[in-house]
Amino acid sequence: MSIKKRRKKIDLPAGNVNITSLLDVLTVLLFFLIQSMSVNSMYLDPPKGIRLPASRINADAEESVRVALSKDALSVDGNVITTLVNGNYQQKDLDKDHKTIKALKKILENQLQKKHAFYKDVGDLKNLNPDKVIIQADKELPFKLVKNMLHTIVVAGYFNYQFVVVPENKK
Amino acid sequence: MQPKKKKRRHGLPPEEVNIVSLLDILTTLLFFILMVMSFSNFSIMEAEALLAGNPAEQKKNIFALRVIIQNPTYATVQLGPIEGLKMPDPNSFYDYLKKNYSGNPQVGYFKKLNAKNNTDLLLKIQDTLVMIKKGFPHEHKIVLAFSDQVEYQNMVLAMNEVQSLSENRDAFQITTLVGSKEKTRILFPSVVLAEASGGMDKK
Repeated sequence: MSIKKRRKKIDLPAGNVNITSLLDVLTVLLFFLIQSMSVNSMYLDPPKGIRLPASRINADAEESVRVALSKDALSVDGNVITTLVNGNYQQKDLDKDHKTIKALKKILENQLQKKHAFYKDVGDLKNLNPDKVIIQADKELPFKLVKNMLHTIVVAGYFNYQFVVVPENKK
Repeated sequence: MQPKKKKRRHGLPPEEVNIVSLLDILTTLLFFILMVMSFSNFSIMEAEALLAGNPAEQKKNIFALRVIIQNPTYATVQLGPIEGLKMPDPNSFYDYLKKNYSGNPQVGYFKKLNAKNNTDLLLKIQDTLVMIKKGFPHEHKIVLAFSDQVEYQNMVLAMNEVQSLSENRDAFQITTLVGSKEKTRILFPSVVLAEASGGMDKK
């Protein structure tokens, strides 16, 4: 059996750490954050490699599926679905019309079906807001690449776009 | 002078309010919010898709305004047939169109815009749209088309400029269909996107 070592008790004076001012600061910070926090808590941070364009328009997004296009990849809700080679879509990823991105179309159609199936039981689909897609694209991309994405979104049944932008002074 | 009344001291023991648990909750909440909230400030620009297809035969003309941006220095403005459309002051608007556009009220009007750079081009587009808005103050829709080489940033800027005037530009006066005059900065807020060669095909 091992012999237990006795710890020496050091007689230090009882310390009083005054954290009142720290708590004051934290509480003020908390209320400031609560106040400045957007009511719309949707996560709009773009995926890596996307620098958003600047705009003077200021509006909030409606919850929807997020499609992001960078110079290297196309992703939906943060998951990469196709990669771009030499700044172009790969032929295997495009449909016969050379415009529609097959993987994107499939995912968006599924999302729309799920949404409509859910709301079908609740009420009339006609009362639903128009289906929108949130778009995050790199500001330097040519329209040639963006239009394939926009075209596919329409083919999948979404006719309204929400482009994510940053305020002009944040360029 | 009245003598000051002495306040009675209550003989109650000094009380201590224990706020430790409250502070625990507040601190936890603070760190939770710090973790969850996004520090980036994002905004949204909305637009509709232009659906391609064969337009149904219509007896009446409808307002159709289309701006096609080919590159950062060149764009065209197309105004569809306007014969029979309601206008507050048709005579002066027809005069303006005659001087600045090619075309006629039956087939529509067309104008080319050349500029030094993208900023200059957007200013020229905006000036053109201000004049069209004065002619059709009740219209809100514009089709904005882009060619393949236009950068996404320039596309977003163009969408801004066709929707409203920026803060550094003066509001302009419009005369409504009922004859009242008002100042506005709004141009054509309902943007429909298209590609320069056609629409976003549904099929």
